[in-house]
Amino acid sequence: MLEIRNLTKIYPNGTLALDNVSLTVRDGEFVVVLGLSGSGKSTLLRCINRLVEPTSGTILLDGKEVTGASEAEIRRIRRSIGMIFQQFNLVKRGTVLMNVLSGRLGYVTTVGPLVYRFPAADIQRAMHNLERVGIADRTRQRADTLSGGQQQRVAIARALMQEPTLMLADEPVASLDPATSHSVLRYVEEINRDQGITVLCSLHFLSLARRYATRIIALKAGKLVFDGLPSEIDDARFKAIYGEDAIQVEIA
Amino acid sequence: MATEEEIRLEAELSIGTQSVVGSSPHSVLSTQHVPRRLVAFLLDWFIAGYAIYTGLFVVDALIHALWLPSKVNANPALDMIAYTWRQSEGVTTLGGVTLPKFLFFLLVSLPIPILLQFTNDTLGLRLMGWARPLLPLEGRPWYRTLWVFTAVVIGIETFMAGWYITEVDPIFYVQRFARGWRISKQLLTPDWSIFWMSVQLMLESIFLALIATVFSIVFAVPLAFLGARNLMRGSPVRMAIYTLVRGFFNIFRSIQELVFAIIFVTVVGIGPFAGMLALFVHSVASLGKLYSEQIENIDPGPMEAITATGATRLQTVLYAVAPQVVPPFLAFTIYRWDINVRTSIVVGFVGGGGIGLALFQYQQLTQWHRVGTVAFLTIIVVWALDALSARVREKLI
Ligand SMILES: Nc1ncnc2c1ncn2[C@@H]1O[C@H](COP(=O)(O)OP(=O)(O)O)[C@@H](O)[C@H]1O
Ligand SMILES: [Mg+2]
Repeated sequence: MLEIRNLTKIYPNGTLALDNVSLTVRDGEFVVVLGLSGSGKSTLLRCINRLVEPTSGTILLDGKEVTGASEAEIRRIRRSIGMIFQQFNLVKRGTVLMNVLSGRLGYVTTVGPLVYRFPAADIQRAMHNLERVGIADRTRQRADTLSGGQQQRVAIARALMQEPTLMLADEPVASLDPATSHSVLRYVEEINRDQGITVLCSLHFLSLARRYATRIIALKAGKLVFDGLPSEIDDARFKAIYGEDAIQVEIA
Repeated sequence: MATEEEIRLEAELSIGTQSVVGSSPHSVLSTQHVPRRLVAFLLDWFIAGYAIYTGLFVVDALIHALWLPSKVNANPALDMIAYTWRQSEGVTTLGGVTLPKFLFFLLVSLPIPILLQFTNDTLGLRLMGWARPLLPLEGRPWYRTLWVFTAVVIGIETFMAGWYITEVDPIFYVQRFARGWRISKQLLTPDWSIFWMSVQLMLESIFLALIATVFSIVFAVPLAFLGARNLMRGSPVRMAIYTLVRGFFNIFRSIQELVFAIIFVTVVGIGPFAGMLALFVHSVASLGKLYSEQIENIDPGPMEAITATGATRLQTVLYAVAPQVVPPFLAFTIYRWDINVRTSIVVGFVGGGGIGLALFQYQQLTQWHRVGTVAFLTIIVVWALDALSARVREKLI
């Protein structure tokens, strides 16, 4: 269970990115975060694994306090939180396999990884995860030779190496075409359904959110302005989130 | 849309009444701009002092260059007399440039920058990049602005003064051209009897450059990570280390290999070791700076992703930073080796070993045929290394 209490983030330049956000995510939920660009979605997700340092408020993950954890503690907590990004954030020159294996670094106890060598068990695990996302035949290929959708699947495999209980996805399909978006989101849905990994995913399109979310939250200028079921977002709510001039766009 | 006439009028107004009264929103001397105006004033003052002083210097030089030689003629002996005459007047080659004189002219020029501050159109403001928010002159063609006029005057003066100080004399060069031709002919007929010996010395240069480069990698790589802002952000201690390392890079990079060579020759004596040390010290700083800039320019995405997996700082550097920087590092390093081979020749002149030392000796003995041999070999090697490093860089970046 993820509990966020009175979370506020003010960047050093004075930008108020999150304004007193409180939120509880139960295990196994697929929560979609909606909001315009700059509404604070990325900041919220990055506060949860402390890639961004919150200004005030508390975050609890499975009862452990994320805020205020020491360097060593936060690494252990991060290990149980997978994350995928809009730009995939793979090491472009690295092979697919090496990229996936790097997801295991938090568990490493041997010196092998210092010279890019991993235990056989980890390699097996990597192959298994690559099979799950359907690209087991590309392991020796450089990551930047893959298409966008394939790269995002590699990123999912990398996150799965962490054996996470929570998956953060920051606009994972914003640089993909509609068909590929669905194929990537279906993999996210699958790990959510089959492995019970909680998902917190920011998206741009309401139609995508409605299709995958079990619950939707919305941010506007750093404030939580909606928290409810996908079916509860009607025209008025939509305009409250996206502004008066917004028009709903369907994505196939 | 205001016509050009109106804009000019507005400009004149802002120089005249408006500015003094200080009522317009563009008011030139409004109090909110006082600190900027002060800085601009100081700059303009210095510029005015420089313009007046250099102008007088150029006029003085012109009088001596155009008027005096007509009394004496182009005969070198008489030139010498004319030169001595100027010396006796207390005029040195720099036309008697002194600090007290400059300060005097600075004082004389004081009214100019003061008057300039009643306009929005001074070179000082432009140089500081502050003209735009103050400036109601947008529609005026650039060549009719005061600051362009100032810049042009200063540019011309500086060029003329430079010409005079450098003692540029094309006619003299043409007169002496035969000499150059004589030496060139000797250079173009190399003395092949010393060829193999020169090859050996050239190998010494290549290897001393190689060793200097390899040693410098060992020190430059770790330092580069400490000198990369994106890795060192976060704590005051880390930032202090960063600043220190960057300072080291900048200082040692700005000191020529030649200077280091002079020092090391006195420490370890004449020979390739001294030359190697000189190239090494400079290369550490030079490569270190290039490396750390490369690290700062990496895509931060993978770093973020690896950090998010729970990896340590070292693991993040190994898995997200290293793969991005190793190829450019290799490219820079080979390029550095190429530079070091070329520089080793210069360093050899002051006792740093290799082929430079031989070149220096042949030149001192005016053995131009042999100098030709060395030059020929140098051209071949430098060309080959250049081609090699270009190829490698092409493959890597
Ligand atoms: N590193 C930063 N420094 C300063 N301001 C930032 C930084 N990152 C984001 N912001 C600001 O915080 C607000 C929220 O940004 P973000 O969380 O990226 O929104 P979203 O992901 O919804 O587009 C924006 O106004 C953005 O400009
Ligand atoms: Mg974002």
